[in-house]
Amino acid sequence: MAFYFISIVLLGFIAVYALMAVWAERKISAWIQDRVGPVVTGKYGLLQTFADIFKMLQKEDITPTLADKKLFLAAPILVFTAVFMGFATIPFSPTYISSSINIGIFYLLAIVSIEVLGILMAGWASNNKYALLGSIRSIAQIISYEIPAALAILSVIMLFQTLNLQEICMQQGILSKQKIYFFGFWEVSKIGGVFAWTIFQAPHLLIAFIIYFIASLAECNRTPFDIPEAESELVAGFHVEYTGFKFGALFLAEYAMMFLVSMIAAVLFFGGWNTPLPNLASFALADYTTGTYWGIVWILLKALSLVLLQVWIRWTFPRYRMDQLMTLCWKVLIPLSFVLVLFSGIWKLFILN
Amino acid sequence: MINLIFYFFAFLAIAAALYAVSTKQIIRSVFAMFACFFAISGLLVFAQSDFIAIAHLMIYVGGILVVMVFGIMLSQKASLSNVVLQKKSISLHQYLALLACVALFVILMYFFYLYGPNTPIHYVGSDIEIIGIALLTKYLLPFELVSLLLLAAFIFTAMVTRKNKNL
Repeated sequence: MAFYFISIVLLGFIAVYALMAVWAERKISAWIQDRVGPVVTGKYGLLQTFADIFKMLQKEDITPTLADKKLFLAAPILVFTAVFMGFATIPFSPTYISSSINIGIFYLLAIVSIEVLGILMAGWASNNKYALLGSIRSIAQIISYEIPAALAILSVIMLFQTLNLQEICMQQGILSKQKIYFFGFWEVSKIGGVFAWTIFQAPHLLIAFIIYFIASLAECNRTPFDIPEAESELVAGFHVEYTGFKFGALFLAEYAMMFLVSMIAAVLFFGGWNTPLPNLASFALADYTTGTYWGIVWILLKALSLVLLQVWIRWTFPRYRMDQLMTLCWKVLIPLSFVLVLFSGIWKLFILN
Repeated sequence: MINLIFYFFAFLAIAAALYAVSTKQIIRSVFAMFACFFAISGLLVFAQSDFIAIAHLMIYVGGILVVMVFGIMLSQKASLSNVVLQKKSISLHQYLALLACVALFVILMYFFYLYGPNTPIHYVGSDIEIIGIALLTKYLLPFELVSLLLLAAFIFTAMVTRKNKNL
């Protein structure tokens, strides 16, 4: 029973988060561009996206005459389900994880590929050239950027020797059974806090995080990699024909995907549910701030900060061209991430042993 | 409940496979194949091999299906509209395909008959460590051969797609 309850709470949380993220994105963009943003509906315009979603639900649900009707209906369901399936293996606290399987991160990588197929289905079923072009671009981009993302994840996993996300979290804080070394020389197993996070366990893992973050931006179709839905070229990309609730589902899935990749980044690189506060002599801050409820607070804070970073980047950088995008992926990120994997092996064999 | 899910996946796999071969729209048959692969990886979870299940999903859905869809999309314009698959008299290669299918079915049924449904599964755990150690010790030679084959395929693809042959 508790399982169903937690699933429903998670779905509700993601729905509310997506609405609030849209509002936050509009406010932050307004702030960056020296505007005010939504102010009319509710205090600080907080109810703006709720009003928008109610408008969207009331709208007529139009299916184009020449569209493939069954696939057109199936695509948003597939995309949204695929993204939501990803949350199953994310640990929220030391005691709560929906499914603690020993192939957690591998499962997450496979889930992303289902979303690819959903986008393709949406683009195809719309029977619209812009939608098809958008989905082809999207897939070319996602399957290219999966490679540096997977290699960056691999360079982390090689140090932890497990694919279970809960165990990866365990090995980044005071609850660890193994010894943790800050950059390989200072044992911090009992101190914990920020010093025990993955990015401080080896010098190359900060670069791995940057590679993973760039790749995750591309996987979410976010600027500077938003060429699949480039407004100035393709109207709206793969979801141009979608209206009403189906569009809402696709939109929700995009923000849920942003949150999912941020959660993965938080777990793999920033200690997951571990506290940033270290144990300082008699001030055992890490001992105080580790626990079920603290864990949920920390991981949500970390993930939401990364979402904020994604929003910030969107309103700061211009869009890449297709060839620049591919050059960055195949000629810069992939060779660099191969070097990182090699370095991880060397670090594991010679420094940590 | 568990039985119900199992039969749902089994039904989905068979129904999707039948739809994939009987539909006249190529793109729909690709998406039906996706449903089939997904159901099969669900069945693999029931067989206690979850690593294989996820690998199946990753390779077939993330790799092969996307390549197939790309192939269909980038081929001629005629194939973009509804392609009517040929329904003439059965030719020789179709007989051969039928023969191969029947042979495969016979082999599968033979093993099913040999071991039966009640044979206990020798479960060694689907731990990735076991798989990893087995791949790098006992099955090292096939593993390396496969990676060589993939490398050759990579180099070949790069050669074929290169525009300037003199480079």
